[in-house]
Amino acid sequence: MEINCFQFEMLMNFYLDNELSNKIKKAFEAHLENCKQCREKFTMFKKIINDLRNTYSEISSSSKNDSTPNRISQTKQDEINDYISAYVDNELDINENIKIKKMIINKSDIKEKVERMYSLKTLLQDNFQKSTPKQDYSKNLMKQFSKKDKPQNKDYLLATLSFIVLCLVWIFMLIASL
Amino acid sequence: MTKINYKKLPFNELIYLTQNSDIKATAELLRRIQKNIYTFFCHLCPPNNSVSDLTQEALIKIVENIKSLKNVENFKKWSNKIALNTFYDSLRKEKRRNKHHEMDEIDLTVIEDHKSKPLDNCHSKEICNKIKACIINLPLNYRLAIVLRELEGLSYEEIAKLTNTNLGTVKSRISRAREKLQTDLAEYI
Repeated sequence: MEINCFQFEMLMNFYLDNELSNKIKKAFEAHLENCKQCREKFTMFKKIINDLRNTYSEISSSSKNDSTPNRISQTKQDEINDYISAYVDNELDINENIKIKKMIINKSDIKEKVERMYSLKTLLQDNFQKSTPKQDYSKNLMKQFSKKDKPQNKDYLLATLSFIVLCLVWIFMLIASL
Repeated sequence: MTKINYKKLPFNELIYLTQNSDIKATAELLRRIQKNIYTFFCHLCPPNNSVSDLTQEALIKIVENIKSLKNVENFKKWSNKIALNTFYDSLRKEKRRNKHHEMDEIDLTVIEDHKSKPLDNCHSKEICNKIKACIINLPLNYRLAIVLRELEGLSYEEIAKLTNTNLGTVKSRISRAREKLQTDLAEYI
């Protein structure tokens, strides 16, 4: 059995969780060995997932242990929050997405963070909907734009008058020369 | 001759007519986009006259330069860029004038919601005021990122291009902004 690159990408997450049947696992490993691009993608993906897992277990163990502030944990916590925030915005790629979904299902505090983030999004968007301008800018601006046009009419009038005056002067000079 | 109902025209057609100096189309376009532009500045600047001035300035620039927009599909990105540049220009002018905005002391009573119905309680006004103040109190980069995401609906990539940063930075700015807002607005979430 052989799989293509697209199928490989879809299966990466399940491979790491050891959720593939033997047959598909062998096909996955064969593709991993033969395809350089997929091998690089898999290495990067593995690193992201391991970072997320480590971050999660650091946070869980430091919260059980207690009181002393843990700077590394705060940075890692920020990283996981970044992923959750990007998940809520649908900005993760498909595999990161699946991973966060699994964390949501398995860890109640992650689920709570996601729910609070969705509530915040709704609150902000409702707020933006309610915001209304204090005046109708379109009416004021259209008045300004139409005033700008008027001088052009004045310029045209001036040019016409100047032309008439010049013609009269020329006729007068012609008559005077006769 | 069929009369055009400008209010029902699709947005792209409206832009096209505005580019061809159709006055009614221009008026309708301004009517449709003014709320978004106003809300954008409202949540970026502390409440004072500059919100109104900036809104007008941005709308004027949009109309005056609309003929330079080659693809009408890009109107949103293009107009966002104009609004953002208008905001940056105002920051530079403020710096030169040496004004100092006290970000922690925003007078919430100045932020008014004129269209709120009388029964639409103080509660709604209070929440809107509080949310506005909390967003304005965010550091500038976080504020920009969250407003461009939540109000304008731009993708992380679009925000990165508009603000000359990279995807990772945008991701963390939005996340930090949300964390701060969740803390400040905890009672409403």
